[in-house]
Amino acid sequence: MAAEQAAPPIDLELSPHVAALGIEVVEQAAGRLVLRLPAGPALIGDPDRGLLFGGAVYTLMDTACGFLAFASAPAGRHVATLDLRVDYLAPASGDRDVFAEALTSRVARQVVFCRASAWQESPAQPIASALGSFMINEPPAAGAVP
Amino acid sequence: MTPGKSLGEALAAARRAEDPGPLIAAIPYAVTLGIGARLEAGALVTRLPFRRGLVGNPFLPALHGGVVGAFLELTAALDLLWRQEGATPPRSVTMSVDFLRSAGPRDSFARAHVARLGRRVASLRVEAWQDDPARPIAQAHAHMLLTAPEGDGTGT
Repeated sequence: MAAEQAAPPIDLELSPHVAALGIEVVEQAAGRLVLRLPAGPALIGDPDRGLLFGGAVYTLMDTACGFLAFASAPAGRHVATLDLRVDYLAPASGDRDVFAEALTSRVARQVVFCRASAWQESPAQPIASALGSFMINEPPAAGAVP
Repeated sequence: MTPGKSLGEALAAARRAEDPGPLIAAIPYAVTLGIGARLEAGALVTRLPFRRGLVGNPFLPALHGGVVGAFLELTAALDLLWRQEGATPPRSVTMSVDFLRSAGPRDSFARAHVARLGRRVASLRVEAWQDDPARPIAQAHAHMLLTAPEGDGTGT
């Protein structure tokens, strides 16, 4: 197992949409990744109540799980999201940053299973939880058909 | 936050014009993604124009999975708003997306099907496609609360 090795640093700037949202790595370890999504008016879904749109949290969860799956897969492989479910546990305030911690549940030969939790004020008060599975693929340059 | 139109005002304007545009313009995140919508036989069909800023994997390239998920979630919410009498924004409870095909650098479309519209909660299926509706890029199953939150709106 590669659990003993330090995972290669994750470069979120590789992904244009992740860079556009300003998502940053807070902490990275083997099998664990914590990201931060800066709050901003562009992410509001309910203008009457000043709440974030759920989809912004969905994107943060997919980014946390997806980059963790990529970092956990054998070097040189790519990953593709098979499915991702998010439960919205509480409304997300539009003026606070959102954090997400993703953990690998299992890194199998073909699939990486991840789970994640998101919060604003404290990890003890989660606003969302997620479960995702990611297919490990050959890199596109090798001619794999998505 | 700019004090824009309330959702109620925007929805009323959209209904008068029989055009979902004003409703979408009142939802900042929908504007951020650049979503549009049209009515097809009374049903809402949303459109996500491609641009590079929506790409998640630049090697394929493919849209970010989160963008596809958010697009499906917005489609569900807009569909419910359009159907409802009132203008209470639906609140997502669960959102589960299957990613069926790589979402290439092209425009995407989506349509929601309400499986059950209850008094308090709706269950929807949403499909997104690019070139061919018969070859969806993603399908979602969503549950959304329909009632106004109590008190300060911080309770689910």
